[in-house]
Amino acid sequence: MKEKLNSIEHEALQLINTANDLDVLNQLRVRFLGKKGEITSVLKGMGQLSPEERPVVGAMANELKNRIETVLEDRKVTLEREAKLQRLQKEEIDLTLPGEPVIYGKAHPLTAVFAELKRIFLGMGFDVAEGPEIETDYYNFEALNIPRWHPARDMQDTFFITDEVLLRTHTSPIQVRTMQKGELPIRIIAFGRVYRVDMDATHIPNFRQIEALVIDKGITFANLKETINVMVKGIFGENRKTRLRPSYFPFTEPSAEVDVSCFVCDGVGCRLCKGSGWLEIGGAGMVHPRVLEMSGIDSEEYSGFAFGMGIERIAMLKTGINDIRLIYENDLRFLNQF
Amino acid sequence: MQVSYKWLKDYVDFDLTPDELAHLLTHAGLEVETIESPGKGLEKIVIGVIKEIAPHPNADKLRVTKVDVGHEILEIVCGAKNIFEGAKTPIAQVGVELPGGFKIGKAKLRGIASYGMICSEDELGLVEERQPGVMIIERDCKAGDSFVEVMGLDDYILTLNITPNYAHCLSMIGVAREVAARVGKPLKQPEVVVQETGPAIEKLTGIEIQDTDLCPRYSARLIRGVKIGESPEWLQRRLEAAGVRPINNVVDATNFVLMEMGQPLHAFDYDQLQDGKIIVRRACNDEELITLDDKQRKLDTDVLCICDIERPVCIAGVMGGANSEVTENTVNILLESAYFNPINIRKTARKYAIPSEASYRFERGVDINAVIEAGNRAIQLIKELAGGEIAAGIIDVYPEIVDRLKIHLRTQKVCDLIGVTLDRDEIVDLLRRLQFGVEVRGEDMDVTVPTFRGDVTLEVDLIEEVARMYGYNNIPSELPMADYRIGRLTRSQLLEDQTREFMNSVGLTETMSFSFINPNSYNKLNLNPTHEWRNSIRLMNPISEEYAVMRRTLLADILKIMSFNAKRQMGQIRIFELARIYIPGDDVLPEEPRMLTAGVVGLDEKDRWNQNAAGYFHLKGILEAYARKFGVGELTYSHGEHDALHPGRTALIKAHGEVLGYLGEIHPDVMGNYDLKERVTVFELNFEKIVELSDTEVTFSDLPKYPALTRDIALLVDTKVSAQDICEVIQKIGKEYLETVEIFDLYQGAQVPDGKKSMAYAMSYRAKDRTLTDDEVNALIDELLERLQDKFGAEIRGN
Repeated sequence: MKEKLNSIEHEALQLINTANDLDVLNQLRVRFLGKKGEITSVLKGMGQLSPEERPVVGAMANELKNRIETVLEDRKVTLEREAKLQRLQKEEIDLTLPGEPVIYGKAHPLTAVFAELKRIFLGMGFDVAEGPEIETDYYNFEALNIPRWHPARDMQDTFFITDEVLLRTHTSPIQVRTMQKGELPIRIIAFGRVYRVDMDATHIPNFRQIEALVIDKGITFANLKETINVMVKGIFGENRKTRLRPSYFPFTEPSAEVDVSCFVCDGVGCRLCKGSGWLEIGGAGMVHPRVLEMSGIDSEEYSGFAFGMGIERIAMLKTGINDIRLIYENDLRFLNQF
Repeated sequence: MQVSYKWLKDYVDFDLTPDELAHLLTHAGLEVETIESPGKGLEKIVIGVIKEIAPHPNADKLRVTKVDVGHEILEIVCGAKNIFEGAKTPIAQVGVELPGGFKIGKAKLRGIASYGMICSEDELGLVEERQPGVMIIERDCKAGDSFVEVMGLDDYILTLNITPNYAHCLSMIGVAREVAARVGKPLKQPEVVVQETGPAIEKLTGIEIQDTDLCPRYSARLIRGVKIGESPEWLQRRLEAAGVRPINNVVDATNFVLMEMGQPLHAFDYDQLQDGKIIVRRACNDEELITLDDKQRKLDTDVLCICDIERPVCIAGVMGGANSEVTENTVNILLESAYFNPINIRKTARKYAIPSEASYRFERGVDINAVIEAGNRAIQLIKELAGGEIAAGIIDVYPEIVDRLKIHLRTQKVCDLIGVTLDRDEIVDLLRRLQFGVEVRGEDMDVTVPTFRGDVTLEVDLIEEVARMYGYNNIPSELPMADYRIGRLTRSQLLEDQTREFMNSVGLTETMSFSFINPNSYNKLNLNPTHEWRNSIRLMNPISEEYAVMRRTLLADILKIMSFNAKRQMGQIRIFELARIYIPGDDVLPEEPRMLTAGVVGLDEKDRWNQNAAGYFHLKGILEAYARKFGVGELTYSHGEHDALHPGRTALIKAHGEVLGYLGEIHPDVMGNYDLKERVTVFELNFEKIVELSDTEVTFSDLPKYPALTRDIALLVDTKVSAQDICEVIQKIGKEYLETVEIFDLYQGAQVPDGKKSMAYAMSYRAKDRTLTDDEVNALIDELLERLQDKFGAEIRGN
């Protein structure tokens, strides 16, 4: 009987371990462990054994039963894992096929530049001020110390609507409107469309400016220099240097042109900077005391600085756009590049 | 303003290269735009004197010359016909490269060695067109001299961009003064001794100023017996370097002084002045004058004229009259040196559109106290150039003498504004170098401003002078002190930014166009003649009709851009613009609301309702998502009418009962006007309204605790019944239990009778405080179906 059990064990283990699918495995379970299975039939024949042998063989049979059970289970897990793997392998795809197209629109390069500048200035505690594009002569010129018939009016060729109403030639009227509110100190940037009668390869009649205005007690030209420095490094990179040189704007005194070291040649001189090593990006200065006084600010107590730039110029320098007209042509092949 | 490097050295002894000079001037506030050298690339060309000319043994058209180039005699083969023995010519020796890039080598021409080239003007790059012969030099020079020096080409011309405040730098002496202040050398002004040999001037002429407000000072000098002729070479060269065309010795002398000292002068033919008198007065309304440019000018009482006793002979400070012009026959000259009111000159120069070197300087203000000096310099120069005898004395009418301005300057104020510590004496030194008079007053000072510095009138102007002299680059950099805070955007600014980002994220690319459009755009949009948009603000001086009126809509530009891109084979176009429009009203300034306008064309997917309106449902989907995201409120769409839009496919969009704008397809006629072939869909919304309605404050609400019940219904209704009509009924009947309602199927065609459509809706019901029962929902559905039958005659196909 022991031999019988031994031979069952031998056969069972061999069959189970070579079984290749779950059905076969099930049949083997019935054959060896079922109610009419081989082990059961061995146990049924136990009556013929002596009382001493009976518990020994019984224990053996049970042990065998458990053993077959375990091996069956192991084999089942293995087969299931293999089956799953096979199923998954059949699902293999060509990983290199292109993805589903996602359509997204592009931000206009000028919007992108303004957003960048805005982040820099918001971080420095500036708010954003706005004002009308169609302005009175007073806000655009008079209140900025540019009286009628002043030669400085030649610097900004103006679109007129009536003798008194015009398209603003710069964002500076926003400075005046902000100062007139009488809330001090002031720390704003102003941004928007401005207009000048000019249209050629380097000029468009409707462009954009950004300018900053700070008015407080004890504001100095040195403060102006550093604020510009921070902005230039923020927008053009940490390695850029800034230089100011004397210039003239009726609403600032002292006045300056702002140059940034050329980022192609780093100041050595190249085609972009026309050999000078510097690129002009805007104008700046200390707010003229007359401008402060006209807006009701005591110029003995307060001082301030302002600086402004053309957004198109900044965008062109940053991206290498070589013709300003592209910016307003709205060719999608151009807009999609950004 | 053009500044000759060589000429400038007459007035200040500086030791700077042209580049260094340019750098110095730029940092003094006189921006140098260009530096040009007329002799560039010709430095190695020398003067050669032709000693001998012999025929070429092997060629008829060539000759063999012996040319003296100073240190040696060269044999040069030459083909030019105009050479002769003794001729002085420019020679390019072996090894020299000509401006065109041609390098001279030792050559054999038909068997004869040639050691250089006799050059023509075109070969030297001095003229464009091919010259028939070589250049023959008639100037005083000898063999081996430098060609550029002999020809006066060894100069550099700096073009300065002079800002309006620096009128004092519109002259050679003015620029020299700035250089002198910086290099620490004295300014060398010409010394003038007028040789007066004639009778007293008062016996010959008289001056009367009738309008002293427009002419505060007028002086005259007189010279008789001049001989008009060509100016000497040195003077012609000076004028050419300054960009002025030489005319004759008398006119050239006045122009020379204009360029040297910045004072415009005018020479009259004295014999053409009736009675020999000058009257300075406003013109009468019926007077006319033919100016030097041969144009008949109508004068009026705003125009200041120089007149004789009968008639105007010159528009003061702007342009002379032909009737008193200096001609080759002129022998007696009256020379004007005056100061005119800058604003009046500016108005007059504008009115007649005659910008001149003279008016340019008068407009910006000349030095009223340098008038006599300039007249003296010019009259003496005329005498030296054209002979004649100068009448004794000057007539100088100067009723109110202008004194030099005195400004108190505080040392502390200088430091406070610039942000640098300077002591009083440093400031005094910087100002004195610029020829300001300084008297120390304790820690501060009183500064006397020379009259050529009309731009300096306030303490702050002096502070700028100090900063400029100190050097902007020497001023330190430091951030302003302030309480810490971060800047904040207003709700409207933030929403504008977020809107742009949202539109990008749903596939729309941002465009930007000019604020002005062609008024004909309104015709292209097929607007009726009384459409309110046609009331657009017009510019007085537009660039062209294309940009003549301030736009009332962004639609015209959106269509223009679509058309532009469609022609460039862009199949799908999805664009938007967010910008202001301009609405005239009763106030001085118009309203400038922002509009949000978008357009799509060429989307290839079909719409889910099979309406052949992919664009419409695409944009509508975007708007619905946008309104939800930014809390604009439920959008409603009703049948809208718009001249530019398709009558059956135009929706008027409202939120909270307020009109936001339109969504619709462009009318086929308008599409034709813009040369667009495929259906174009657009929306245009008033962004200010969106800002007003948008509410993005979110308050958390509890997640549902009880299950929802869903129901579907299918209906057969008249085609006229809208999806929204049915939705409204579902919402009304659903009371507070209706959670969502959605149309999920729309069908017309086989099995549906003509004039009818089949619509299917899915609803979800839920109660907040308990589990809704089937019976409750069934009752709601029964009520709903009954109502739909009553209201729309809806036939229930299933539920």
